Amino acid sequence: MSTQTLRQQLFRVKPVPRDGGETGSTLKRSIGLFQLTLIGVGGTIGTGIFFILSEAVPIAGPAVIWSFIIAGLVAGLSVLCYAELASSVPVSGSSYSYAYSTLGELPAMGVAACLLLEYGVSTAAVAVGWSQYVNQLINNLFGMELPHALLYAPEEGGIINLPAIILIGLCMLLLIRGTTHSVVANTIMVLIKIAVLLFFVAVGITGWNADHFADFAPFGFAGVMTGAGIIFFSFVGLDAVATAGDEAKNPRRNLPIALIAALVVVTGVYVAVALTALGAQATGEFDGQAAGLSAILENIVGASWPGTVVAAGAVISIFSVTLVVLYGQTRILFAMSRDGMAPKVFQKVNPRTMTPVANTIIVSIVVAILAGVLPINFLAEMTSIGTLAAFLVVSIAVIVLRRREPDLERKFRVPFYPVVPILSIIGCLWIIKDLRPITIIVFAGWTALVLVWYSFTGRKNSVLGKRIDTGLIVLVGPGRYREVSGADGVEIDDADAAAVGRGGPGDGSAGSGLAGGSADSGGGAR
Amino acid sequence: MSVVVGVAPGHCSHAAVHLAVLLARSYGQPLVVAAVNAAGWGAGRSLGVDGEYRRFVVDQARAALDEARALVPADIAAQYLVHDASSSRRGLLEVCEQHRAIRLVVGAKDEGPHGEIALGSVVTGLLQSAHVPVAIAPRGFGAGPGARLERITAAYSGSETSAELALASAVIAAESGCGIRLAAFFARPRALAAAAIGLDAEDAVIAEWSATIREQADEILDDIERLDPAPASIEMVVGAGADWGEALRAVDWKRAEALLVGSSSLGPIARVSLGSHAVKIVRHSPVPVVVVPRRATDDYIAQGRPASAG
Repeated sequence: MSTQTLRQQLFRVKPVPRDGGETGSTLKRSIGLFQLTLIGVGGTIGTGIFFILSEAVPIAGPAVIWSFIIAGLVAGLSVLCYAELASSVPVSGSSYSYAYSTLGELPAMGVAACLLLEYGVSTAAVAVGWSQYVNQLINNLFGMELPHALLYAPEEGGIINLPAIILIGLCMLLLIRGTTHSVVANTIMVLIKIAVLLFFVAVGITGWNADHFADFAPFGFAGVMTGAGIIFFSFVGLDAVATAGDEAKNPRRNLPIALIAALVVVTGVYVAVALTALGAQATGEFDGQAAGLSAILENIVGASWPGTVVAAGAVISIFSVTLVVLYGQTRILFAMSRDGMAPKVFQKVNPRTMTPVANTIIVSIVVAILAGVLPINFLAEMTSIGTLAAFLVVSIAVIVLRRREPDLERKFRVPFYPVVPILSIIGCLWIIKDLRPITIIVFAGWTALVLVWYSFTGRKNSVLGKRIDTGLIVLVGPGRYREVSGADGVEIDDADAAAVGRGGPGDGSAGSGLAGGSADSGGGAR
Repeated sequence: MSVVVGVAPGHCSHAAVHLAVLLARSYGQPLVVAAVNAAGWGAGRSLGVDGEYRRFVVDQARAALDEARALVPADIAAQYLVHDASSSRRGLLEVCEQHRAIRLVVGAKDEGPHGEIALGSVVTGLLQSAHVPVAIAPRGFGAGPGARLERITAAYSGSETSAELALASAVIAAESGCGIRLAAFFARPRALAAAAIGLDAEDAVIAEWSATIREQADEILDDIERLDPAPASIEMVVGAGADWGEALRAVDWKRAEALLVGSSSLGPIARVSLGSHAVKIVRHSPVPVVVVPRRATDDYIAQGRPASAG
């Protein structure tokens, strides 16, 4: 029987291991400013720009340039908040982990709902975009096209998006095999992406026609903001910089510089590509254009080779993005499952492949279904709202944590506090309000569903809750817990209890001290 | 029964002979040192240039055997032979069959780094076709005079075959008077950069994997504890590192120790080149490795089956 009140249950805060992540690992600070910036650029470019123009330009017109800048600014503000949270809450991972360690279990579940949407749906969206470029590539290389029925969602007149499903299947196999991408591989992908986009700008600029900018903002400011909502999706990935903070050299200096540098590079590239595309093609032609960048180049040059180059680059880079995002999704569910917030099947690791196989398969099937049957603009908007909501919670968490734990060590502090978090909150809300009502309704419904699930299942299965009930963690004040050692209930930490939920070293899991080369070499002698 | 060691004509692998001596002494078996003469076109064509070349190779083989003879201490019963065959691999397998070998010992490729095991084409072929466990000595291996195996470490991957191999190794370790250790290794994969979940996202997965492996290994260790006679010592260890080399080096190794690896995951050559965990473990092992090829698995398990189990 639970000994906690409902309020205590909903807002119980996960104690933070004193020395780092879940397994007590301490990572080497090995990532420099340049690499950190590349992680941000690499994680961001490729998810949207290759196909987002055909969704945003019909809504915003040539003023889509402003949509890009507004989306970039809001993303930048949010990511600064993200960086503060990442540097002050020493747990690994996503905004779910941060929320669990600062705001409590219920808000963490809310964030989890957003993240599941953001990651799952964006994988689907990216896969759908990929299929357009694959089709373009096949067409250019072999002179044939995939049947319409196998390339489009039912709402767009097709039956199923087969290439998208195949892409997700390939990524699933790679993830099950335990693919490891190094920072070097990421660097190469980033260079390919940027090279392809620069190639687009270099060739596309030859078709410049200033007349295309005559009707600059056909739907006014509202159009610009709705465009920003769709485009926000293209900035998903900047938060990777913040989450790599654990391994960054001199994070206090490098995190904000890398974030801003990545933001400037990404926004610069986006605006350059958008300007080139708008100069080369009249606004009306963007509507419903598949594999837009390739098509634009082909129209300008009158030959297929530039389009082939862009399509090939897009196919390679979008593949890597799908892999990365699908991976992120499986690991977030893994973390939730270990906390008791998701079914246990998501935390089962296959001993041979060392990967969560069932988790990967389930996630891939769900994402493949979404990619197979939903249209891309809907997927893009759903991703945006998921990200926006997660960023919103992070921005709120920064303010809450500054008030509740003013003395907590923060390796990075948001500049101009509280202006930046407040602007970030306003910016996120503003973009959300301009999204289509159906998107907001589906999002609200989904979040409600997750929270209902939490109240019936997650709340009772919460590993944290069980540990509190069994006396492994004791309540020492409102929202604060102190961890005690497992077997005999002896308290092992007093000094650091003032910090958020600071407790003993880790959760005593078998993996303690395993990562990062610190093997328990003689351990387990019997 | 015997321990067979292969030496190449013209080039005696000291490391292989040292390892063969160690195993022969530990298992109480005689040693057969074989140099395979795979030159020429068969016995009928020993004239002319062919014949001259054959004689040259045989001389080389004898020289290699002499070199090996100098390395084998007096306490080991050994015989030395030149064996004609169409290929080195086939020849060694024939010698194993004729002398009822329980282990075939070979050296690592010369080009590999000192102290590590690079697999040459002959050894790779043997791993796919041998009916006996193949022991491979790292470059420069030497166990010291009079040494016996101090411990057998059985690599445990969580598969059923590797569990059976671990149990069989324990029986063989007990009979040889040495200890047994179960070892699971992992190289910590880098999280996919830019997944926005932190670069230490893999830690939790590794922790879960480690817990699962330990839980499963516990059952095997319980079985081993019930053995009679029991091995001199029983241990379980998990080696972790940023890469496989680091993971293997993260655990302690005795000077006279062998790492036993089942090849169920070695499989066909295509999979080897894709890089299974077993291949990486073999390559980075700082001690000699005994690979139990897939076709030798049943025999090895039968060899180590406790008397009570039939």
